[in-house]
Amino acid sequence: MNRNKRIFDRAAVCAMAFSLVFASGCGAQKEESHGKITVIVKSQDPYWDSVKKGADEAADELGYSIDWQAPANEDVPQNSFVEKAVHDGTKAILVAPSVAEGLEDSFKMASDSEIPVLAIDTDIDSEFKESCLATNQDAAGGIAARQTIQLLPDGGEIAVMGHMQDSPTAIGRFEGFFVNLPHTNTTNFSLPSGYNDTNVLDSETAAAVSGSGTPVFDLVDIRFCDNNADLAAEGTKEMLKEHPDIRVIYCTNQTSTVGVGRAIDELGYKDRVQVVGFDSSDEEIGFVQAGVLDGIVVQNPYNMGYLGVRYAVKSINGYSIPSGIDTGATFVTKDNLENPEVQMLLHPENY
Amino acid sequence: MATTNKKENGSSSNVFIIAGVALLVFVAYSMFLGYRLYDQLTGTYNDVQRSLVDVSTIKDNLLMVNRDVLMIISGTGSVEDNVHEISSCFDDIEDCMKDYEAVEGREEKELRRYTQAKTFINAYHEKIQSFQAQFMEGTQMNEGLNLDLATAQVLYTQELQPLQITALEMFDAAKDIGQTNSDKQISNVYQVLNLFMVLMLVALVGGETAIIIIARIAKAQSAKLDKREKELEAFDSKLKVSKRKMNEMAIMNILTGMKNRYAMDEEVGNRLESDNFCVTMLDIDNFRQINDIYGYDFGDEFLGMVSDKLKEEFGNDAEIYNIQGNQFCMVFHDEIASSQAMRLSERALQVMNNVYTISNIGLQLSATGSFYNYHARECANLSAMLVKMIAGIRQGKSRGGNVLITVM
Repeated sequence: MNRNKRIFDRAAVCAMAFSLVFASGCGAQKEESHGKITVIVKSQDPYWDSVKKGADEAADELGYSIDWQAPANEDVPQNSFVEKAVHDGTKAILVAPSVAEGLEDSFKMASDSEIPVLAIDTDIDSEFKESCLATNQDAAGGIAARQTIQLLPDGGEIAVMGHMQDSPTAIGRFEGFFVNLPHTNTTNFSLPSGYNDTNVLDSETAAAVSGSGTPVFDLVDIRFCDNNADLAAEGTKEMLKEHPDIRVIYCTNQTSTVGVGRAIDELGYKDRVQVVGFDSSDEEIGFVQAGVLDGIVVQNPYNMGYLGVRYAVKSINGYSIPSGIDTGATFVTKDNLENPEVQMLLHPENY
Repeated sequence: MATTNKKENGSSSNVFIIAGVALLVFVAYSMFLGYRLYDQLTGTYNDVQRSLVDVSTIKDNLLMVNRDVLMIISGTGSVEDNVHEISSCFDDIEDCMKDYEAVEGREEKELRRYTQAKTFINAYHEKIQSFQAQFMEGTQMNEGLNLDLATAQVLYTQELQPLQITALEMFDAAKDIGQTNSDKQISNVYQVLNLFMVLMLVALVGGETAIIIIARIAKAQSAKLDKREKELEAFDSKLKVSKRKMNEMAIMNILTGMKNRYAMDEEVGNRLESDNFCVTMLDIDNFRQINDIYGYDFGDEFLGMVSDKLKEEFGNDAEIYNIQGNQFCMVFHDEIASSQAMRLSERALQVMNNVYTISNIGLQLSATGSFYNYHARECANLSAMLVKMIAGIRQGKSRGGNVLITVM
């Protein structure tokens, strides 16, 4: 009798304890990963940290892991990375192509294994690419051009510091800028191969535009720094020596902008030469605050990574995704630096 | 034995009380848990529904704004109307965002996406406002070049559209995270609910089992008790029988089956004070010789036969006692008159004088009697009466026996 009573009591106590445990402890189960998504970028430049951050966060939200592949520099061929990812059984590949050609075979291989390939940051012409999430270079150049017009109501001589002569982004940004800027090409220099300037105004048109209140610029020089800030600084100094009347220097990426900024800062030309740069490193932000750089075109690398992974997962799950979206660019100046949308671009981790 | 029973009854009722209390607590707790789960579920559903409505309204409005902007730059419809619609769309978006923000307990990630989306929306709104200002200025100046349609189109594709798309995507992300979270929550709730059901089932089966076990134990115990009671009853009746037998043995002569002197004392002793009656004492003559010659068994057999004969002949007229070995007393019933009693007594002597055959041995013994017509208060007790009557017997025997002596 006593034994039975004890058993009954114990059973009752156990039942209560169990239900309590179940009621309170159910939220704590570990989530399983659906697989990995490979992200291949161009280099180990800090610019890609934001892409990684966005990709990591999207992967975390959607239950995937990120296989981050950053080559030492932009000269390292990326096709081996794509092939390795396919062998490793990745679920999707996001790639920021550093070259315009040469990846097609590896893309085909991924496509044959039914692994979606998405381009981020830079578009690439490929029949196996499902989507592209990048800053539209025309748009980014256009934004820079319109801001340049506002910064310099009187126009003047203009020079370009490109990061790499054969880089698609350099070409795209050059064309995007100049197609939106009323300018002439009065000096006797020829554009490097691959660079087209379709918006050179003849003197008559230039006069008319100028007469209507819109400044007209003279393109006087274009140089490349091979992604080296020191070379960019040196080149800037040379350009300014050769063309002391340069009013604007347009830079096509982070290293070239930093190099030009350093040169202007050293020369103390910040009020004499306007610098319109690209991308946002801490040094660039410092130059913007100091007035050395008059404006920088800031892309949204965080969104490239974030939306790239989201689109990749959509594609994995069989949803259709747009063939490409412009992740947008913002012109950051001393005036709007503290605006929330700019701060969000510069420090996505705080938002 | 009784104490043990009481104790066991006490402990079994304790078990029932504990089981009852446990069941009560369990049911109350289950109700609480069930209510909590239900509350959680409806809460989650409502929040999800509300957020979905908010986000889809925001997205609809964003698309409407986009359409209006496109209409403005394509020169379709009235610019004022479109501008007005844009501003009312943004009012709607504002309301939805407030409503979305009113829902508490959102996950950090979801809120983060929402904040990003909101920042993009605000940037988009500002951009549209500056776009409108530029465009309106241009139209007001009629031929002004502030913003021609071509430039407006460029502005739209290069600056407005990316912001709008990004905002839409971020709202989508926030919605997805919210949806995933609520799915998780709901599945958690369902998991708890399932476990809860299993638990209830276990409790039910356990409870039923416990009840069955307890009932069985109780039944076994009551059967045990019944058995004991029956045993007790049997024992009791046995005791009664033995007692009765013992009583009978006390007042009966085992050999002859007749009442003995104690019985006579009981029955006649009371009457001495008040009644008149006739009593005859009979004594077999020379009976001792039979015992001596044939043995006690034979004597006993003989006494048995004599007493059977007496009972047979006079059982209806008198109460016959075998007061000692070969001495009998006949107490005549009241309706027998003294003269008749006298006659019956004489006949009794004759009956006793008959030949009795035992083991092929015929035996005839005479007897001596003393007849006493008793009147109330003549004797103080039975002993005194018997003394008188034995004296009569002695008298008869001294005369040679086989005679009835009347005593007074």
